[in-house]
Amino acid sequence: MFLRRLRGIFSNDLSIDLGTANTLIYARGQGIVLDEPSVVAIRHDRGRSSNKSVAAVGNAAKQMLGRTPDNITAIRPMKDGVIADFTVTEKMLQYFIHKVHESRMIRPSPRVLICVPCGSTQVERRAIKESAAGAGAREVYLIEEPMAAAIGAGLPVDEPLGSMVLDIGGGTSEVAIISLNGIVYSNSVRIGGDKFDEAIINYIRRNYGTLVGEATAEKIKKKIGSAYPGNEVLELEFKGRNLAEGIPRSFTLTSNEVLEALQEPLSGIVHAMKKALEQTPPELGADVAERGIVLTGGGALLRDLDRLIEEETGLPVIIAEDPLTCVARGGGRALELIDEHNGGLSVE
Amino acid sequence: MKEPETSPETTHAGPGSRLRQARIAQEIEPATIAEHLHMTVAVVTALEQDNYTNLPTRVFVRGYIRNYARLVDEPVDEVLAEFDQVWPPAERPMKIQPPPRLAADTYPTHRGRQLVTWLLLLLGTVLFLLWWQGYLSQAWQQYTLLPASVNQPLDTRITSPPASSPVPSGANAVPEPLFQPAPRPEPVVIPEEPDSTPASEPVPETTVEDLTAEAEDFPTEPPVVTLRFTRSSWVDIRDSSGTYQLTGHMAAGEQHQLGGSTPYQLVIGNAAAAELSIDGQPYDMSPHIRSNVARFTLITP
Repeated sequence: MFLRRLRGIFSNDLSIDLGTANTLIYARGQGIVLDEPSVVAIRHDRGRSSNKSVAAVGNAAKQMLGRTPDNITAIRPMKDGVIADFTVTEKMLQYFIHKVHESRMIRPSPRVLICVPCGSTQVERRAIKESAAGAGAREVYLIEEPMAAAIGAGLPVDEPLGSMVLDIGGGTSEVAIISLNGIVYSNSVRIGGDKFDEAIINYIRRNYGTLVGEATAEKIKKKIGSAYPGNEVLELEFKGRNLAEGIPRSFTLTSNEVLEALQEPLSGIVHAMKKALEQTPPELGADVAERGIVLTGGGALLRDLDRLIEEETGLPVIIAEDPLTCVARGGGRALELIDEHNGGLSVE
Repeated sequence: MKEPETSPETTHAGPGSRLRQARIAQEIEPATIAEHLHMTVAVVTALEQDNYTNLPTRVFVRGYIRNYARLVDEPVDEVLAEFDQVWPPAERPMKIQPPPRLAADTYPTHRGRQLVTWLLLLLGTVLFLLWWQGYLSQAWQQYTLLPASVNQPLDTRITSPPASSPVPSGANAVPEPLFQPAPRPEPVVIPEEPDSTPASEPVPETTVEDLTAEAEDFPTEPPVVTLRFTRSSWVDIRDSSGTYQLTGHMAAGEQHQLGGSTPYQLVIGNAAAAELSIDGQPYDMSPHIRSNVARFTLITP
């Protein structure tokens, strides 16, 4: 215990955005120090023992996705914002925590704040806490993602004003109304970047009879993905396996087709937004209507998503500065607030 | 509604005038902009005047300007860069100040704790090194005094007490030298009536305290300690202050009177060839001789 505390003095406090797609780590006093995919490659050793070992984590493991031999499996241990594989998540966290302390002589034992979806159950939260503790964390705090996102975006969460934030991550989309350091209303839908990719894969298979992988779908989404019809139409040529011929073929997809493919997940998010606005107390609703809705998370980078929500809700919609890192930065700020005010925030 | 000829007076030299000029160039009314951006005309006017006093926090204003720039086809990055110059991040004070910190809430910062711990560890390391250096030098000093043939442990050779405390003849007149450390395995028995002790009986053993008390009755002049060699030998003798030192080979017939102050640490090689006398009285070194090397500490009053 004493040694752990001693080691903790030589570790940085960390805020971890343990996302389905990417894990970001914010070190106190240093900023974002790690941004890597939440992917782990597991090697199955052949022989009697049939042991498993970690072959790669993060960027290196993501490159292996869909390209591994039989004895290696590249997996994503997080699903829909929560832990799908406890052991692998623990290993991944351990690797990331050590990576941000790799220059240190003493084994790190930091205080860690982890952002969790507001829709996660107590069992899922406990799993995340124990996973971080198993990875070497001295103390583990949890904060709900929309709160961290709002703090990271610079919203005045401590004021008696309603602030609405929509955080679109890889696995979930979180919408919340925040006032006076607390969440007044929150809702989480299991729609995020992964569902966008899945929708693109399904669209291409259905309309082109071609199978593409997750990586290709993500590339299409980033390059020509759009949430609202724009003036210019973008095109992208890519390759996939033709299901009828069984041979890889190349074809061209337009941004309007991607927009069509994304209609279903996008309508799910818009529906969640409208539901949140319905449930918001009128005073806070008026604040939101006057100032607007703030978008954070990687999903906010989907072209014209703000315009779609503007048109659907009739409210100003603002994309936060550097939306990808809002949650991790907000978590870091929350850690500082815990020290400064000894609480005050809704942190578990 | 036609735009006024003169531009409104701006609070800062921000992106407002640029946005306004772009709007006028496209012949768009402020009300149209407000409708598109789902804002009030007052907010649009404030943005064009770079007057952010009555607008919400920075994140919202930045978003409004971004949306405005996109609507009037102005390069968004350039406009936002201008805005960031006017209103850099995290400069606007919070409307609600954080609660005042009480004395009980003041903890050392993380950096402070880190620094203090480093200093403590450094201090501990330095103390350990100092102790270790002293230990090593002591061990080396003792090692260098040993002849190569002796392979007994240092501690047993140096600190082992003599099997029996010798009593030189004429011990009644001269206090006997003491050997340190010399814990006696058996308790010292001091006769209650010293006068009744027959003269023929051996002199009873006395404790250090007794001898010290006795020594106060004697003259303060230090006794003369003489060392004589019948054959060649080697010695290493040091006094307590370290100023006097007699080391090296001794030839047969050589005689030395020890200087310095008591106690002496003596190591005498070929001890059978050495004769030690205190104030002319011979001293028996045989209890301290092992492998023909005598090692002992000599304390004289």
